[in-house]
Amino acid sequence: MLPLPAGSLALVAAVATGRVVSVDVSRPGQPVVLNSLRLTAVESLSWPEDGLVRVASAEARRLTILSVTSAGGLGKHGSVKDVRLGGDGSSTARALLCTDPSSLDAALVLSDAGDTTLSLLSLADRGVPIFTGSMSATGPSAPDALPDDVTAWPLGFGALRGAAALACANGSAYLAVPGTASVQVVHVGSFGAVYTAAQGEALSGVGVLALGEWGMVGIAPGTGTATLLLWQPAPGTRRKRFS
Amino acid sequence: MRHALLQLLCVLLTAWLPSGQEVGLALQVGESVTHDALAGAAAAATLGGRVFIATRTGTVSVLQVLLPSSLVVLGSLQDASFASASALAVAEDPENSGAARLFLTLTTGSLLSLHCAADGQLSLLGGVDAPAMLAGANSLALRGARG
Repeated sequence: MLPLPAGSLALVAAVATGRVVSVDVSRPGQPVVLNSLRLTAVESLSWPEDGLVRVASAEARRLTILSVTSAGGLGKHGSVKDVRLGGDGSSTARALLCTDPSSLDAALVLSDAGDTTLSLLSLADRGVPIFTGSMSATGPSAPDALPDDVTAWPLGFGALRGAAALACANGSAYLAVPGTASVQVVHVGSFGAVYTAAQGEALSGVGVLALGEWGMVGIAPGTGTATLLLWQPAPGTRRKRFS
Repeated sequence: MRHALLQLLCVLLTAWLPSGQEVGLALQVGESVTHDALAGAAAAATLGGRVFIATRTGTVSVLQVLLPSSLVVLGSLQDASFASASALAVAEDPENSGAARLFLTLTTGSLLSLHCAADGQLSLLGGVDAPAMLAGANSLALRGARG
């Protein structure tokens, strides 16, 4: 991650005001609100290196793309509305959004639609979002018989049920499913198949994921347990040791 | 019905694709750490080998990843205002090698900034309170940072 340069900006999605707010954080002790843009509703946002801001809202059932100027000015670039982005459309529904830095043409949204739904949207058309597909927990079931190594088989979409956290890396979406003490993974390039990336008692109740270069940490708010989850190293490679 | 059939067909077709492990999607479960300061975790972010966690019990903690598979709590800072923490973002401190700047949103309508020294010591730098704009703040991103 780059150091914050002078004139650095933070963007905040504020649910109660329906606004995306730009804040000058170049003097960290004295952040200054610069501008804001009101949308129908906002919930989560991401702002990757392409400079386009993705904003998801379950209440509005919408993914909106914003452009932002260096002075914090915000403008609408495009949006798409789909029922699969929002559950029942109530203010308590949720839409978690993530963008994989290595795959900026795709946006993934986790919502309560159909119990739990992971949606894939393409931004390849000049940053204008296009709904590409979705996987709902009420969709196809898992095969009747699974091998001992469950990671080797794709699961039914029901494996996504109750997913509480979403993180994107390596062209994939990782979903923490606290009820099954697991992290499920969906590869964007083969969207439509769920695999188990990790499973174990330590992952029970995980509701927060934080990505790092080495993998991620899953945190269970109920127990105060943080568990390290590491990328499986490719053969012949060594992991970096932090000082 | 047609949609469900298409989804089923998609699953069947992808059964022939490489497994999660073969394409490097699987994760190895490392060590866990349980700490009172992590209960009620609401948001987390990482920078290098450090993990920052804000909780709804009013604590911000910093953990250190020690590869190959360990995780230890380096320090924490408690403040009643942190109890409404909702999102956390972190960036390197360009003025201090090994240090970090943290930004924390509160649902009450504030954006706080914190400093994490190279030794893991956390301190509150300041913030902006703007409920007319920031009430219900739920998500945060920095320029150049991951969302």
